[in-house]
Amino acid sequence: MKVLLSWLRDFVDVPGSAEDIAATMSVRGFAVEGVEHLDHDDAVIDFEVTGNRPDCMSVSGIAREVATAFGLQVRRPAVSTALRRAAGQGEGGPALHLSSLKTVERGDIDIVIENPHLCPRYAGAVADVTIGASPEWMQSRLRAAGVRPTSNIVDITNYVLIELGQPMHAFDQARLGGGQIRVRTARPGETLLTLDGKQRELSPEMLVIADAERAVAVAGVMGGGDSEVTSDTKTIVFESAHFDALSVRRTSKALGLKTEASMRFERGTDPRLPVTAMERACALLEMIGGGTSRGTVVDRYPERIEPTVLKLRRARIAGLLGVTIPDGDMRRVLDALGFALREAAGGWDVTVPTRRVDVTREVDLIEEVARHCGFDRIPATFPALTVAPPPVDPRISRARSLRAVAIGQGFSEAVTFGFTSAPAAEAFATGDPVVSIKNPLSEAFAVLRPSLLPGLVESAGRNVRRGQRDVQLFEIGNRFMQQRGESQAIAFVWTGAGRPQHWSERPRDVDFFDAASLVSAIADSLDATIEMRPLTAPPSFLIAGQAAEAVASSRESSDAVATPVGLVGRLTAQVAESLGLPAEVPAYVGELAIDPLAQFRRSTLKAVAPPRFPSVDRDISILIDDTIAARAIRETVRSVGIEPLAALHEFDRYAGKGIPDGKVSLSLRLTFRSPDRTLTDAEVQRAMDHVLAALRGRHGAVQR
Amino acid sequence: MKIRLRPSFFPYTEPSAEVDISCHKCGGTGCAICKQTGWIEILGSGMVHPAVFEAVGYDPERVTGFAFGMGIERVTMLKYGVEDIRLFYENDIRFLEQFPSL
Repeated sequence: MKVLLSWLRDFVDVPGSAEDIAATMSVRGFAVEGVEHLDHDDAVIDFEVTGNRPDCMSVSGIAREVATAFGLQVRRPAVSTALRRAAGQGEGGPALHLSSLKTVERGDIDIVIENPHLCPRYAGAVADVTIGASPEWMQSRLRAAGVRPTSNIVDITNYVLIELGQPMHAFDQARLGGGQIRVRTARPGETLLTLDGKQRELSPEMLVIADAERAVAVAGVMGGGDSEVTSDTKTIVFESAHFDALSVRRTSKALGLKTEASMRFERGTDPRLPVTAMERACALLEMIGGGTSRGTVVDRYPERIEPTVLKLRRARIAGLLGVTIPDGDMRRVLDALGFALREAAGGWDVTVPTRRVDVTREVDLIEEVARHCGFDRIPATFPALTVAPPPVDPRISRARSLRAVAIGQGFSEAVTFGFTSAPAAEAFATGDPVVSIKNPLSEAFAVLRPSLLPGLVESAGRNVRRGQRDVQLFEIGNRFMQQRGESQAIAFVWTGAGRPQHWSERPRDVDFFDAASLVSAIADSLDATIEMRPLTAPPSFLIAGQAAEAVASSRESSDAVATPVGLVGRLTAQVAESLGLPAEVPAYVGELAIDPLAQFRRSTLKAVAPPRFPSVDRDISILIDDTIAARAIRETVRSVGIEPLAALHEFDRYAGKGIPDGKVSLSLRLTFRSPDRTLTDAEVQRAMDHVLAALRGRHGAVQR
Repeated sequence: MKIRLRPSFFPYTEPSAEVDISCHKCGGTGCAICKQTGWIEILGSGMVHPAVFEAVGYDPERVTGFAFGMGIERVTMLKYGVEDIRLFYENDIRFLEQFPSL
């Protein structure tokens, strides 16, 4: 709210510079965004008015706050008969004169309110005018407030809006059909050309101002072009009304049309103000020689809005603020702000001025007291209550271990947005519908992310496009799906080098096994046991043959059902490119749900003594079809169980010269160990024979 | 370091206050960082609004509470001299790798 200092001083004789006023008001709830100095020692102070204080979106509203803060009296506009003389008083502003208007049932205009709950009050007054420019003082005040001057009549409505906070409108009476104003909802299919030159489609929940036939304004938002005041206008109807805040807000939002008027109405205006504002407009009209009012106002106000009365308890003030405010200070503040106090048991009954739409409960009154008595008067103390801190949420300690693992593997932690675009989300939704935002900020933030991956892949893409080929990013965060709901996950994206480059190793790019071993390390850090199962039909963002599902199971109880906890694999070029990650860089991704993983945590780790008896290693090389999964071979070897198998390693894999096409040579090292004796050669050989027989029988393996 | 409370408005607290800290750069005399005010807005706070207590089944006649929260980006920018808030959302590894201990 830009307030011209000299305009403010029409209302209150506040001493000091604009900076002094700004400094005081900024600790009274009105932060100052800036002070601009003008000629003649004048200045514009730009106050930040919080959303709950529409009563301060005006010079007079700010003046009341300034008067309260400085302990001064505020001047109110008053009826005067010497209007023309007042206007002649040089360069300075006009005195706060009002015209006296007689309230009539039916004047030169007929007003009907069809929807009094959307329009509790509507005042109209007719005036004969000569259209021209408004005087320089009015124009310069409007400009200072950020309003562009146009013609004297429109300038008057804007002047009253800025000065008193009451939005007004002026119609050309000759262009109102039937000499009538009807406040009603729009008819189905009704349209209106608004003052900004746009044809607006209205809907039946929108309130409009209409003449006998058609809509002439969107109530509380904007007037219509057909009834606009033009240079030929001879007679006008001033509108000064009170509209339902929610209705104006909805209409303004639906039309995508925000105006100085709608911004005030949607926050809540003072139902007592319309006639005063009308009297001010008519006084200004005469003062600037723009015309004369007919001296009457038609004021439709079927049901008076009465001020609310709140209880204010002395003990409650001290209880909430932690400091005792003397009664005198409290009364002085509330009086100055226009609240009326009456003594009651233990405190007061306080009548709230109708302009204070923000004050609805006792605590709001206490805030007013605290605000103007000064928060700095509340001493700093520690709370009297001491409480033991609650135990750390297991999700926090889990996230800490996960972070340590990923960072240890060379990853950087990323934080991406919880919202993403619908196409980015779709690719990762895996069958469960995504959750759309009802009122999204933009298309890029239209849905809740079903996975952390779209954001991570986008971040990786940004890095790659900026020349960083080797990117390792992880994120711990929540994702959202309609059926599965919200769940915490850890996800990663890995592009470029699989190892940092060093002369001791040949450089190589990340592969599936790097990604899979990171998934295992993550599970290990939570003491969970997982198994990788190849996915023959992976979700569309992963490449088949390089995709696996991580399945958690319990080591301790065999009846626990194995649960899928996540996916790992190579990202398809199509999805990578759609998220801005150049497809020529191989990218592996993985994502694991944390809660189910944590469920499979081993309850307690129990140590066992190192084995007392030596182990025996046996190597075999077999020739098998290259389509057989390593996992199948492993399961076969383990299933034999003639002697206890302590370990199994695939230590060589060879295909090429000397090996038939479609076959592969696989070398396995089996380590046998018995807990209670040293195994003999014969026992081990018997075990190996069984293993070979099983491999031959199930996989057609041939020993080399 | 000094702090001050300024009345403000938040829907979930009543009364509400903005908490400012004295500018670490100029010590309160006014500079570009604090926009010549000597103060830096750091967090929002207030007494828990009685409607919030009612909504979760507490009796506001018996229970009061204070609430406060600060934007993590803002304090991080102040602490590490980060000049552009967008750096937090870009996840550029050359930025992230500057914080190995976090």
